[in-house]
Amino acid sequence: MHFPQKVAVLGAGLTKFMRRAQETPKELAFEAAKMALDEAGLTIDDIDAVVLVTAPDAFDGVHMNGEYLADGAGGSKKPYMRSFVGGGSGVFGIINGWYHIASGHFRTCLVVAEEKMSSSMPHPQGTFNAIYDQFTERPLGVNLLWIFSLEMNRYMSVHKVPLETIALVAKKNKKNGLDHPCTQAGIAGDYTVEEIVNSEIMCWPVTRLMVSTVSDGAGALVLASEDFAKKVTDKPIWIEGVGWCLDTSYWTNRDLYYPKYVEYAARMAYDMAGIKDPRKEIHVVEPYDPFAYKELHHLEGLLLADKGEAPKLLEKGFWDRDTETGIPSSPSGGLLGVGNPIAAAGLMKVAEIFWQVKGTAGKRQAKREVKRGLAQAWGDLMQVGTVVILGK
Amino acid sequence: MEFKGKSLKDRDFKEKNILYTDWHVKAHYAWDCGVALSKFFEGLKEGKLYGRSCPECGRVVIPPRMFCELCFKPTDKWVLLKDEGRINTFSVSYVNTDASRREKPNVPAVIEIEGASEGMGILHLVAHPEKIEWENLEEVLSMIKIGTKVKAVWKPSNEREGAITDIKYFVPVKEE
Amino acid sequence: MFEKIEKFDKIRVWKGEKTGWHRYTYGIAGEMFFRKLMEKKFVAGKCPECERLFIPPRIYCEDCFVEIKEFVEIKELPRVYSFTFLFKDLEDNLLKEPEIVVFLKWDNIEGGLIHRLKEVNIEDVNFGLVVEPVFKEKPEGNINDILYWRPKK
Ligand SMILES: [Zn+2]
Ligand SMILES: [Zn+2]
Repeated sequence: MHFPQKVAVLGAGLTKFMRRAQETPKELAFEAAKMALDEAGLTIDDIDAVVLVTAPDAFDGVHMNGEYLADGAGGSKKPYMRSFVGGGSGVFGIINGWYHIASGHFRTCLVVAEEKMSSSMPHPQGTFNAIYDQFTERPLGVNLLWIFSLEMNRYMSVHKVPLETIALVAKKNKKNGLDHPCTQAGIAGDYTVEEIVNSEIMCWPVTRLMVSTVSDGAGALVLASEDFAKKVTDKPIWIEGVGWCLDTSYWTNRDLYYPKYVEYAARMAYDMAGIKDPRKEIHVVEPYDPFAYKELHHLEGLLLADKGEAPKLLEKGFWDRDTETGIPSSPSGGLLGVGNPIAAAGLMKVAEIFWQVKGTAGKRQAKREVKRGLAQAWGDLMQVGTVVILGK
Repeated sequence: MEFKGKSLKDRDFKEKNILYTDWHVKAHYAWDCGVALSKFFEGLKEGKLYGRSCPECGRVVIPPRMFCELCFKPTDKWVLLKDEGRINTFSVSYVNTDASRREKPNVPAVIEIEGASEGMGILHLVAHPEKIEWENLEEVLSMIKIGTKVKAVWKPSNEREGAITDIKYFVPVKEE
Repeated sequence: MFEKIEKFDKIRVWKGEKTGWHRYTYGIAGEMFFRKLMEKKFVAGKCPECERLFIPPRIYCEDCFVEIKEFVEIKELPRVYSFTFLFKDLEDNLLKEPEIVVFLKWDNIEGGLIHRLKEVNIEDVNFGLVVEPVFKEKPEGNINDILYWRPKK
């Protein structure tokens, strides 16, 4: 594959993640975008194009939310696009930003992700339920948890994974989240496996502490071409690979135990990055973890563990932040430990990999040497995998 | 680095520390069922489950569709399926559709329908074979697991309206 | 694959609805604007870079993309920048007398407000007409704290 330009990441920004933010969606977008520009040492005049991602309009409660957000995202009077793959949007936005520049058409691109779920009342659940088929599923009285607990049960049963092992993901991520400056109040903590397993049964096998929360927040990344990046930094972080893939939305016809579409997305990104053995060449990973089992599900889809092996590696501490021989997974704290403002949560994962590779993740910095990392998001109608690989 | 954001509490709204405005939405939809699902629902009204087959890969799919998404060719035959199948996966839900909590759980499941190709499931509910309502998690886990055979329980024919809810639920049945 | 529909009773539809509501906070700038409006005052935000004023105020200048921290009270009255007459309500019923909707702008300030204009003859509505607000007695912190605008007395 040949692309006219290599693409670098120059800066990242995030707002705090909050259950209810006072800021409007535009204000959240501005704060994150401005912070990313500041880290990059650029102003809005340096930005050639803007990409915006946000999940369904019904969360923010603004019809055509992408258009509404344009000025807050820095897109006023600029080539601007909103892209969308539901929960996978945070990483998909980076992919869209990447091809704006890789094509050779733009020198720079600001990618902004925003979500204000608290606007949706009485609970965002009502909006989530619309993902189900209106003819054959919604009349049954669905809720969003069903699909996750069904998938989790299938995954656990096929691989015979105990609930206690899955709880270790929540334990790890909620502990990691204590060190993230944007962590939503009341989410991170040093929980025991017992507390997680014995927390309120919401939709068995999913318990309260194995589910990420509803959040408000925003994130942003500044991307630039090789030519541009080399003028402003001598240590650019590169986007080495991108991949994405959607499976059918007839989800009851798929075997839910394995996310094949995540594998296809990962293979696309590995090929582009020239990665032959991801388990050796990926040094830190941020898989999408809206639910505890999802992290394991995705680590296997990303080919970082054999099918059914991610839980065993978890028990051995292979995915811990201070591992010396394993691959730290969700060192940020992830969606379980920081919060889940959908599109912004996915972008937060890319920001974490950026800071990890750059070596500026502070207390969250992986112990082992990090030259390359991977961020992945997931969503749409339970069918999309989006992958970005960053490296020195 | 300074991370911005002003976090609010429910109290701030109750005590009017904060200004806000509410916008009530009530949108009504009438979705055309389309070609495949119209026939499917006609079948349900008669107490029958129909799948659709693909001439290229030979799959029999349910819910039925007029195209095979794998071969990307039109499907061409209606296939009458049995109103029974096996649990592909299930969960035990204490949460209602509006996120409020249930005292007693219900059991959503993906049910692989007998007569369709392997792995072809639909979403439905599984009820207790005698009491209908489940008492608790333990009771559910003692009676069903992945692979359990289940059979549809239909509404009386005069109450059916051509909807997925014409099947009231599935119940576990003994293996012959 | 497609057949002409001849029997309309054979068309199946499934009906559903989306209920619920949205709760919007006014944001950092909006909170300030509406708090001041409750005191019958109008504030604009001032960009530190281009020095333009914006109303309603916002916490950023979308062109300079810098934070706006300075908010100033506007004592002048706005003018009618554009207007339209409504003859029918949302249900398509003819109104007894037309409603006047105006876009108001202040001189040398970016942005403006959409609102109602009353106490005026239709013939007298024109571009540049200076107008003053008529406030509700008990303000609630929303745009309807201004009942309507009327020509400056
Ligand atoms: Zn086929
Ligand atoms: Zn300015």
